[in-house]
Amino acid sequence: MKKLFGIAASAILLAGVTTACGSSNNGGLTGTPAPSGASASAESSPADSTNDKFTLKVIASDLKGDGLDVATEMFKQKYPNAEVQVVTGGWGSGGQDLRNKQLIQLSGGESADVGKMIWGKEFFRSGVIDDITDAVKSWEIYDRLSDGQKDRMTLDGKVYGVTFSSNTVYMFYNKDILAQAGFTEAPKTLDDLAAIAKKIKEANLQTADGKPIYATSFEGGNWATDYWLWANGGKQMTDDYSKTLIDSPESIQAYQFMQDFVTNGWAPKIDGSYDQLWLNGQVAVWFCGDWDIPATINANINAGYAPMPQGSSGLNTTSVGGVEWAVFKQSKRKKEALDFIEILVSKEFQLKTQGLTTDLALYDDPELQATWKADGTFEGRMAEKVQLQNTKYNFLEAPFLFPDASKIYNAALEKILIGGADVTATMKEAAEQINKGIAEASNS
Amino acid sequence: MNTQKASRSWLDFVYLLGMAAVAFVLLSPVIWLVSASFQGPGEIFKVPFRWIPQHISLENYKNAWEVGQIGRALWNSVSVSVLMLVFHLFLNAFSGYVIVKYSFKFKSLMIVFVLATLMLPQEITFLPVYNLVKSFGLVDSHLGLAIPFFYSGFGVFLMMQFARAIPDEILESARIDGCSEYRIFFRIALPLLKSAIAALGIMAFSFIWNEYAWANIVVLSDQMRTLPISLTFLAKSSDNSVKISALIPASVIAMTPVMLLFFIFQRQFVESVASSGVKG
Amino acid sequence: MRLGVRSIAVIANATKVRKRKLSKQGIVYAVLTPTVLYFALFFYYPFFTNVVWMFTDYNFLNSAKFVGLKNIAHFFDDPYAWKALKNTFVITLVSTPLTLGVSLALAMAVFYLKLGKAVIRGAIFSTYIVSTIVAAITFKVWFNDELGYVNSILTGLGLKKVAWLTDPFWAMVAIIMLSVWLLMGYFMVIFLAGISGIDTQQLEAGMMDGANKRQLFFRITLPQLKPVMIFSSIIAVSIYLKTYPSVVILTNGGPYRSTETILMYMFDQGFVSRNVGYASVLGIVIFLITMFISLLQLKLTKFFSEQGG
Repeated sequence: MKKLFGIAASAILLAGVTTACGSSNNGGLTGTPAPSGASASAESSPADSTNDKFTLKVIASDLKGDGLDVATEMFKQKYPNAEVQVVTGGWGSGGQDLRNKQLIQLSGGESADVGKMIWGKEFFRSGVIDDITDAVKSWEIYDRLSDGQKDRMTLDGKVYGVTFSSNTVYMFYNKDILAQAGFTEAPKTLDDLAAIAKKIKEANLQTADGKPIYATSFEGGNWATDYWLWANGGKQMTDDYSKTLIDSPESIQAYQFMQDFVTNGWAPKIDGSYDQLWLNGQVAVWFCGDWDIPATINANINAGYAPMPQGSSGLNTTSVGGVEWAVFKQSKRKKEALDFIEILVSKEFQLKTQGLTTDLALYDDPELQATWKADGTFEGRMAEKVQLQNTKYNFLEAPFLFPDASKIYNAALEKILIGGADVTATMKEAAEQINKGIAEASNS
Repeated sequence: MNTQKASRSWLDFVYLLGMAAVAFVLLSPVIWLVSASFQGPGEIFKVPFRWIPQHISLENYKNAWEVGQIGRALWNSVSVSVLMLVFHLFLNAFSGYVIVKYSFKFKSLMIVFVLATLMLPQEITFLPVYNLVKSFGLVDSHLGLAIPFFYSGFGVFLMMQFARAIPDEILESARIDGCSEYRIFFRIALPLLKSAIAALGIMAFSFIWNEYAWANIVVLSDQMRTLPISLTFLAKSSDNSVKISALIPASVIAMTPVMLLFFIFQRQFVESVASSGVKG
Repeated sequence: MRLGVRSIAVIANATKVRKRKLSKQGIVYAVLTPTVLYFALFFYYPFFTNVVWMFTDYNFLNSAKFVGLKNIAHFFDDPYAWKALKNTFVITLVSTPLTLGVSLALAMAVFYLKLGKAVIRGAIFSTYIVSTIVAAITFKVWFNDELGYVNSILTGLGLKKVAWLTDPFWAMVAIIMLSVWLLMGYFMVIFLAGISGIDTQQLEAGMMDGANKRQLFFRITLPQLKPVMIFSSIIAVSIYLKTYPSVVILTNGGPYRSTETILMYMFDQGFVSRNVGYASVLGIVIFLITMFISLLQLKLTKFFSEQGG
């Protein structure tokens, strides 16, 4: 008995050490993934497979939130004997929770067929998701996608994903504050905004309970800061994403412009309070998206919505939002996977879910417009429609070559906007680290 | 004499008031949560904050219940907690008792073996354990959620301390009377360990109820979500909204069962910690 | 030389004793084998997996590649790791005495309370029951620069606003305040138990000798609380060394990574940067430090000799 005890214990330990030395794709014990559905042959299933019994595995953040219940229903119309199994992983900050879930699944050798992500470039580069250029380019919605949207789904000319639920930030403006400062219209350029800021400061405007009023706020993470960078002529990366340009003279000028806003007291220091100041009526111009409209209405802010003001470069580009849906390389049901994704960007789906719009043409759809008028988001949506024509993919939010770059960049931004550090020195140092990391990652 | 008594109870009362104020200050974040849960998102951040809400609105609770699917999450949390507690209390108590009350070869090694795990941050075990749980076919299940917490170094350690206090004479006399070892544990030791189990119980319950890291890894479907996961879901969705107006009532709902349980069993818990060998 | 009743009794007893010894050992193995197996599977196997990973480059998507001491070497010249360690130490070394002090004070206060003891005690303990995440969210809202409750109190008292979450120093203070708040209820109850066990005879003798309250406390009460103090201090330190969700929510390691803790850095490296090998190094480092500090505390207080077997 005693001996058994000791043997069992050492056997476990030994087993642990040996299996940990990873075989195939694992870092641990291999779980045998049950093969899903019929044909194990090559990639696509035989032509007339619509009556096959199979399970399509989808990994996303939330069943209802992603409209997957609607999509499943529509999918079953085409494939009546199919099951759709949805694995959900929440979302988390920047999608981390879902990304972690996908990583754990992949490392255990389990693969879904369809996955939701904003790290498509990273996964594509690692060879985990498929090149679906030919299929997607033949879809009718493809030509209607804006450059920014295509930016999200393409790497080196190859399409790896389908953009979904595109959104972006645009300008919310507090009509009351602007009126108090003597302005009747929303600012059209950043110079206008600076003028408004000066006026507010001079008049020392305050809210009813004595709180200071700011011209704008930099809360909102990369959503906000990317815009300011691009509007002032700065750039994050070279076009081939091999080097960062955050230390270029134009970029530095842009960051300086932002820092001046803080130094002059025109914008508060970022402290994670997000929209609290806006909802409390302390911010004149707030760059945000659809999601904040209900709270704005609830807080009784007399708000107007418009596309972003133009910067000194003549641009008013914002980062393109939304996510992309990709097909995993290990999927054995690629045709069906693509069909599922096509459903997600179909007109029928978008009309049914009413919030997850990808097709920009649908912004003119009277049915959708009616729902937006009913819930008070119409004006915002129209502003967004215009803004969506001027979007761009922002590398430094989800860098696929060197993930640490995001942290380094954000820390540098914080040093500048919160700590008041010297812009040139800080950005030069960050750029150095990022470039070094990218170089190392490209070589391995 | 009367005036002395009167002045003493007057002092007692003042003392109570003072301590009540201290308790209120310490507890204020909790009170704030409850109060804010009945107010709209615009009102929560109004300064000065109104401790007694102007309009009580159950809208937030309804929202949290529906959007956050809190009902389902509550059920999952309760199931997992009960499951974990049953195993945890029994297994740790039995192990702690046996370690302390019996002598056997490798006893000191055993003690070190178990207590060394106290030094390990359990989070770093989760990735390998996930593969383990997966090979048992327990992913996305209540059992899978509970199994990494069935035993714990802390649980065994605590039980060892409490079991030490059981007088050996009682066990010996039971043996002489012809009781089997198992009978001795179930009939004699276990009842004596009741307050210890209450103490460990509330700590373990409080832990598993709020446990997030492991749950996040092993839960794969909406239906299996526990409360902490639902809370996080409400905090951040992919459309970037921070549904704080739903997050707060959800937090209150998540907090309430533990609070209730504690207030009911408070006395047992405190007494058990008091009567233990915590002194060493 | 007949086998008397007595000898028969002895032999019978001996058989019984041997049987009992066997069944005694039986229960030990029956109960402890699953225990050992469980710990081996759920703690030791993962631990060794981490140790192995330390020597590899593993990024979830490709199989692990052996790289020798690269990750360990990287740890020694990684400024972020050392900053994270420093932050973690600051949090631990400041929060622990603060928590123990506050808890002790509260315990003494509650102990002497005559009216409403149970209610007050319950109210203060319930701060421990609140989940870390929920508490962190509340504190985050409270410490907001403009609209936070704390600042509104400060300005109400005529003091200046504090830039709680935008200044590295004050952010650390905020984290420490949250850390103390989370555990003070728990240790208060532990100390209450300890205080109730104090030998009242000594106290009475002291009072008769004319000692005042202060002397009574420091000369008699405190020394008798030593074992409880030691126990609490070890637990508190091992909890604070693993500070993670509270920091993530309160400051997310900011401003500009000045409050990042080592466990947080470990998760970032593991999941965000997909550098599991390096993350394992950090995990093992945390383990070693926790073990070292705990053993140090035990040694310093000669716990071992009291513990015996």
